[in-house]
Amino acid sequence: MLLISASARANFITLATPEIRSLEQVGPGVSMSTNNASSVLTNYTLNGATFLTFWLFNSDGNSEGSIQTPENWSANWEEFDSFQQQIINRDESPWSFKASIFDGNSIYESETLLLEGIREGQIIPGVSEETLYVDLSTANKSTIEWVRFSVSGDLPVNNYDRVAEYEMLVQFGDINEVPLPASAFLFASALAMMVVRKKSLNYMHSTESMSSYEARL
Amino acid sequence: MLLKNLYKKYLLIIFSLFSIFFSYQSNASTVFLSLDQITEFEQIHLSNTDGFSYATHQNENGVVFLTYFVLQSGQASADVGKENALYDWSDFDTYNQSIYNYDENAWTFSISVADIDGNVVNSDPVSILPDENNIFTLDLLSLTSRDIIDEVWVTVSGDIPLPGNDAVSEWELSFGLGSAGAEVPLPPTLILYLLGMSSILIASRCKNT
Repeated sequence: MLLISASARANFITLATPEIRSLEQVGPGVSMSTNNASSVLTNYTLNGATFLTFWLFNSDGNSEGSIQTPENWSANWEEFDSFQQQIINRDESPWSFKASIFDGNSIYESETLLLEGIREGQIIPGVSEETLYVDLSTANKSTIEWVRFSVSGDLPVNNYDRVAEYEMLVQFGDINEVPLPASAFLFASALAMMVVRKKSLNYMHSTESMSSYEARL
Repeated sequence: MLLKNLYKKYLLIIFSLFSIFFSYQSNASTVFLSLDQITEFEQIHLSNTDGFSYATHQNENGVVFLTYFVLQSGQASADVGKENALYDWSDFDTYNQSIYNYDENAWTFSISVADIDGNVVNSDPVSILPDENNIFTLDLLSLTSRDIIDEVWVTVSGDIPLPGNDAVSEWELSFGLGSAGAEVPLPPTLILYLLGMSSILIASRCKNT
């Protein structure tokens, strides 16, 4: 039962570290005549990579830049119900992030998460670090064609900023379920209570039998 | 007696005018880049630079640049400036430049100027903390050809990656003294000087009375 309990929660998929490191810029990149964004991988991290997305000074208003799995990438995710990926805003300004998945017919999107900026690497979970979640229950999961991550902001953010720095990471825990240690503990304590109750009933039954036998004597 | 007083006042006025003129002259020997000159800055010295730089924002204060390094580890630097500038700075003996660090980490900056003969003057590298600025001062007197300044540039550097896996610097090359001037600008200097002179005059009048 413990094994089933553990396997039941592993129904989400996340991009692995090499897949994160192979993410590529979407679109032609910055130029003086368009509002396109450029995206660059700047560093490897333990379970992912840091990226930079920037626009030039001719870009104003709500703008979006994206990184995506390479053209030759595809996946069969039939065993999974959802896609989850951890993201950290490593910039000093707040930026919005979103994940999108294409199954060949439709695009499935996560909620857009606004993550606050950080100072000197001080990451606050839920503020500058969150999980992008995409429900795959209605998707054609055997033919996933691409995964895309988008960063957006109302340029210039804070009246000067057109540069977003962020880190994509492997997601290790399911955000929707009771974590394994807690559920295992609850399950184990329920089993223990059942054993204790059974033992106490047996003990009471044997005591009662002994008392009635002594009384008869 | 009246003539004597008038002569005294005349001398005082002449002295004041001379002082104001010299005060202005001594202040005007410092050159700042104009806003137009700052907007012409771009990444230079590509053969010996580690990073890439772009201008991402412009306003009346200056130009915000992005400098980033890709998969670098250890000390790295990048130059942003103007080649073939051909500025005539023969009237100036000092170059002042304000730089503001918008990034979430401290980055190190320095400024440099080269004349047409290849003489180069550099400032000391200064680490600028997040959301702070620094005014760099460069002595131009060691340049032999200040009438033709060939290159002006800023060097941004850091020990990559900085805290938080940071390999991206966001900084502003500010017009004038930027948002936090280290020197007293010309108008306040004049006001201070005139106040001092007025006080002397009032004191002398009181004494006479």
